[in-house]
Amino acid sequence: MKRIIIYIIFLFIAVSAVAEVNVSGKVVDKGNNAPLTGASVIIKGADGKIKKFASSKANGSFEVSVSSVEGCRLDVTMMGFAKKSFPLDSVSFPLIVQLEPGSTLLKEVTVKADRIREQGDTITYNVGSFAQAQDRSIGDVLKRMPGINVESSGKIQYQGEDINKFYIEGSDLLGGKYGIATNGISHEDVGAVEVMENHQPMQVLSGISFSDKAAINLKLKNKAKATWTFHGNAGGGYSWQPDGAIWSGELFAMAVMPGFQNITTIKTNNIGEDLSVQATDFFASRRGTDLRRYVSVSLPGVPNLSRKRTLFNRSALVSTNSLWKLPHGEFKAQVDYSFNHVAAEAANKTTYFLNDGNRVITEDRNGVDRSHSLSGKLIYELNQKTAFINNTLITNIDWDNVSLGVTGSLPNNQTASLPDYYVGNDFKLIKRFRGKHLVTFISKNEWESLPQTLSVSMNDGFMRQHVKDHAFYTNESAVYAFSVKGITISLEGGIKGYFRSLNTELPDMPEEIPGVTINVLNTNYFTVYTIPKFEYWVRRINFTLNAPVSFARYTFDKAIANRTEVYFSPSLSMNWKPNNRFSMSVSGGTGRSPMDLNMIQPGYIMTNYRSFRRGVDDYYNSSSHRVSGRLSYKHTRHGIFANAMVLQSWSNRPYTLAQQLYGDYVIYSYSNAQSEGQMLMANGNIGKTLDFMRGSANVNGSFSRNESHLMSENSNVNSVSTLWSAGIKINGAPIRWLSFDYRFEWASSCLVMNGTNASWLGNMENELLFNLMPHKKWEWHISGEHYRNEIATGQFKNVFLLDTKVIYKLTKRLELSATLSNIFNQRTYNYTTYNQLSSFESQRWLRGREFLISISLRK
Amino acid sequence: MKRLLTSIIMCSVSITAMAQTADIEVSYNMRSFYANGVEKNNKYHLLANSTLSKFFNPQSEEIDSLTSTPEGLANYKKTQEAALQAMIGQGQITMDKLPRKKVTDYVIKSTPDSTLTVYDMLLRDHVYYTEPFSEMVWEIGDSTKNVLGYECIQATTDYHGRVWTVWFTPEIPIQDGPWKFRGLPGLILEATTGDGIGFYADGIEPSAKQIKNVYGSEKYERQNRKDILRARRAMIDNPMGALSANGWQVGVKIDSNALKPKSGSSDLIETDYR
Repeated sequence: MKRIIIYIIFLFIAVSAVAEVNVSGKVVDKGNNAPLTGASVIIKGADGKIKKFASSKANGSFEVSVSSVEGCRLDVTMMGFAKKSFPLDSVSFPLIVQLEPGSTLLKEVTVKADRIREQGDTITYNVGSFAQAQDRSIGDVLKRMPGINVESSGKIQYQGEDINKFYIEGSDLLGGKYGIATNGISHEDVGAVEVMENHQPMQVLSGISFSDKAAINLKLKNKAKATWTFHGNAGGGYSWQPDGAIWSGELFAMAVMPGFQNITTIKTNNIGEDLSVQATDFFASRRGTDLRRYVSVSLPGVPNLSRKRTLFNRSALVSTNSLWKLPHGEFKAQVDYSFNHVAAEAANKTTYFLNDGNRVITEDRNGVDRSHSLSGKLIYELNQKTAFINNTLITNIDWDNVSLGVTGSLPNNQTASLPDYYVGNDFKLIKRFRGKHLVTFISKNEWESLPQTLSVSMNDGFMRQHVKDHAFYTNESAVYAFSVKGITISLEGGIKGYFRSLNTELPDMPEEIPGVTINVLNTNYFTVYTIPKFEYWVRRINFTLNAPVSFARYTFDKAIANRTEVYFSPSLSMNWKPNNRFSMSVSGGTGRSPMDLNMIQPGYIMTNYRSFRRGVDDYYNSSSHRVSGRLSYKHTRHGIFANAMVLQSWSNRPYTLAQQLYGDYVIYSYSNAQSEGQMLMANGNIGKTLDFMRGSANVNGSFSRNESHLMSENSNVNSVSTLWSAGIKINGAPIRWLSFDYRFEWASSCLVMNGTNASWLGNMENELLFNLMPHKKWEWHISGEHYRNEIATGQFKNVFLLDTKVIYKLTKRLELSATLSNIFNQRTYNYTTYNQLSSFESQRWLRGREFLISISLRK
Repeated sequence: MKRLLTSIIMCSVSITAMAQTADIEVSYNMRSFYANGVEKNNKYHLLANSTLSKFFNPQSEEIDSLTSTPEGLANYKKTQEAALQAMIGQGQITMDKLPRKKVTDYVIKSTPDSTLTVYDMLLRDHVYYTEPFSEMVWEIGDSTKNVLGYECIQATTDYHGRVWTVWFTPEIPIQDGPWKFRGLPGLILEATTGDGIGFYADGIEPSAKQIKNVYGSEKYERQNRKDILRARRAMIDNPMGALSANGWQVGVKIDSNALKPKSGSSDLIETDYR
């Protein structure tokens, strides 16, 4: 009986097994018939739903049984192969499924990895997730990272504050000249950008001295490490204004090795790209020699319009920077040379608002500025936990020759020769012992010579202004600091010496102007100073009190009476960081300070063909007070960064700038009257990632109000200038084949003099770029800029500029592009600005239509 | 003998796991809850091809790669110490600011062996276990939904104490997914339990990265899965005991009641250890 039951059961199983269809077969690569492992085999019913599935085994075989194959389809898919799908009704098993190579299209809506990630004080931005197809250098991508702001000069700010270091793979190769890196390094070589908040670059001070600044570190991809990377491009074409040939070329080489780093770049162009700014040292502190040019013959500049539209240039830049890691410390050598030839033309109408009616001067200016700059820097640095040594030797030579021809009310020709020679050495040694004690020695020595020659030939005469100005500055000091339980007390003591001689002569002076035209004087000082500093940490709050006291002896070699002065200028700041997201700081300072010695100048100096300047003939002190506050907030997981800053300052000087007209000449001098000024500045900035389109957005606003006094034609003028501005930036790639960049800026300013009602003048700027990628080898950029400029109340000048560029990527390393800029060939631009007590109306020339073909290569 | 066997197994695991190139990289956010009910989010990546995959936290992997060499380890300790010193200098220590691993597990799935291997840490001990794929049985449902632009189909599994609902897409023919999930005809983009624990894909990218072995995999010791879970549970319920058993000096009293689970969401991800 039992046996029968078993038989019956077996029978049933057999019957049901007969009804099942065994779908079996083998998945192979069509190319070489090799079996494919891990392919998905899916049987879908007539309703399209998955009935059964399996995956192919190591020999490519699969086996699935289904009750019936009627109306069913078999789908076979695998990464890297095209999907195969066919009905199962009319096939016999085992099947041989041949897959052809093909790409499985992934949707580009996706964002891999955290775009921004935070660990402790380090924020890491994933470069790939911020880069858009139109970006080339890492600087282009930095601009898109919320929290990071790149100014038009190239200077980088994080949460509204300038960064204090720029590292490449943890090494400070370039110092403040990081523009070389941001403009040169391809974003494809950089994996991540790290921002280190509260970065203390000197390890010896870590945990002892607070820093509210952040540093940036570029983390390179492995392919860019331990090797040389090169890229370059060369292009040529034709321009409609200026009429003629145009070129642009660049060669960039970088080596990032464990013991050696080098960046060398050579660039040249005449398409309006100013290269000299790329080698600017953003960390350079003010030179101790503190000389300033008296002669100011400058070519017309154009506000509110991107510089590349108005710069008629021929520029070249060569920069090579090396870093060697030694057993103890590192050695760096940097050499930079830049050449800039700029031509500019402007038609101006200047109106001076005087109490007895306006005075109008017209002029047409046509000038050329040829400048060369050569600088070298040698640095040795040892940065350890117990010792810090840095010696920096800098030499810098500039030659600047300007010639400017003017036609109009005062036709003339001016040529100025403005070289600058500078050499300086900074030495700093810090030693930390027994953990909490620090001793520092600082020695700075600088020498500078700033000769100036200005020649002016008018229709009926010739004038030549000579200025010889040189100075030597030395500062030797020692600091002792110790730290106990979050309290750091330091005391710096030192001496400063300053020796400067000024010789100016102007043999021929227009008869209308009374006064001496010769200055022969020395302005020297010898200062003994001490700076007690107190830092206190409690509950995530840092207090810093600085109270410098100095005793100074000024000697003027009988030109004016010698002086002995005592200065005290304390400042207090507080920084509170309750958590990783929020921080706040408040600071304030007050004090008396010595005057700018460049202003001691009893005789006239011709600063340009129309204006003369005379300084004060006595020594004065000025006083000032300031308070400022700053807030910042970030939420890295949501990609939100926000900051706001407000600053108010007051100043009081016992002298006042006076402006007087003699005929067609303007005389600037100082009169013996109290001058009080104040300034209020506020700005805010919010950045946010827009993950749905792999983009980001930024909104900013600022306000400033500046009140100052001056004398014009012997009467007191109180002027208040107010400026509002706001801007928006958005970028993203909403669909796979399209990315865009949009920028909007608006500013409105007003200058009120003696309470008279002045009008607000606004400027608006829109810039939009679309990048279309119809095919992976092709890219097409279309970009437009619109400027709406208020020349007078209610009267607007609109400028619309359209550019386009086509890029063909021949291979991964080689691409060709053709650019057509300013398609409508717009050639002029008008605007009005206010300058001291005058209005200034001008017509400027734009770069006309340009066609450029270039080739770029990378290794 | 056991040790010899272990090392042989480890060897073979590492050989199969060596030098394979991924087809795809997927990032997932794992949502879970602290015992006090506060939400916790951790980032994981899945590097996968049709026969091998690795599920890991990129930050932890970076630290593991750094510390896999003696110099690297020394460097890492130095960084940690420096960070600690700086905090002591500022008078306040925040564990969050210390560079350290927040997530310790790796899941390696190998199709040729039909097994997955989980590497993890129990306090300071490196442990691993293997498990056959067959322990996870799927039921494909009828519902569909769109995840990251991909048409996904629902499937469920009753796995190691929890019922999971997952969403997979046949559009991406990789039979893999977050954590230990795999074996559906398409990539799993989302996996959730009723009480809020879940994995959510937030990025997918084609990838040619190497699926490297777990750094220092030879340091891991084989243990039974449920024993590991029990030990972890015990550590949560009685942290004092666990710490002192490991030779840690415990000076602070921790109220162990405060750490007891208040809901299923704060229990371990697998609850079949009881």
